[in-house]
Amino acid sequence: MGSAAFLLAACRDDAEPVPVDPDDALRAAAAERERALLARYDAVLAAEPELSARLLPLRGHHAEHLLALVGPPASGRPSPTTGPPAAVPPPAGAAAALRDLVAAERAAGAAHATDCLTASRSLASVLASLSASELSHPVALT
Amino acid sequence: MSDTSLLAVLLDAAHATVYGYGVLGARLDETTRKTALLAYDSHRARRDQLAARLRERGEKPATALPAYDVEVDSRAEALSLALRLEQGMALRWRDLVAGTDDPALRRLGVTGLQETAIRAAQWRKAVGTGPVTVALPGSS
Repeated sequence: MGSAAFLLAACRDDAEPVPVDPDDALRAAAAERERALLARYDAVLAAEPELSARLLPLRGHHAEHLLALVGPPASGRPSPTTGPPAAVPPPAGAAAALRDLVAAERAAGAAHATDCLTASRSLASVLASLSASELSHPVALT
Repeated sequence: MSDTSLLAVLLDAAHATVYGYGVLGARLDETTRKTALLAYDSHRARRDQLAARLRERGEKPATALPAYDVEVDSRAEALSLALRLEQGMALRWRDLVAGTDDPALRRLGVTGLQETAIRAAQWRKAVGTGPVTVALPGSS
């Protein structure tokens, strides 16, 4: 029954095109923001290892955020919790690097909140939670 | 749940939260009391907004109960209660986001969730043990 339904569905080449889920673009944009934050944390951790105790829990949250958005990586593919190299190196010095992270968190939190307004209910609640998490991170960074 | 039911649940929680902050502030030191006062004002403002949203929808918003079951005997208990109040509000703000298609209510829900997450982090920092932040504020 299931395979018959699948075959019927597969043969419907005259059917209307499958509508694009507007959540897809919002989820992809949010995942990109999380990857960029992961990369930024990695760059600061490499430059200022003495900040590890403070930064690693926050980095962990971003890895969880990415997981909430795109799920676990398929085997054989690179882990999505590894961000791309940061495009801009962090400013020199721990204090400046922390300020840079605060600004990045706030920008990502604001963008998640904006996208939350047009997402489906289920994605909206994820984006709202991610936004609140990013905006709470400066409390730990300052 | 309808928008009005979600708002009514939030309003009840906001009444209890405002009451709780009124009680716990007396047990705090000067620095944390300032944080509590800001939180108290913020929750009162949100409470009034929730009542206004209900009135706009033709509902009669519930008033606060005469008293809530709150006992705070120490600074540690006050900090613990403040954190629980924020976490309780966070759950309900997130429920509003997850349960409405009204953009204005969703915006209110996101803002409320952000504020509670920031304050929860401030309270965890004041307690001084364990992580300051959580990955998914508003999820149980």
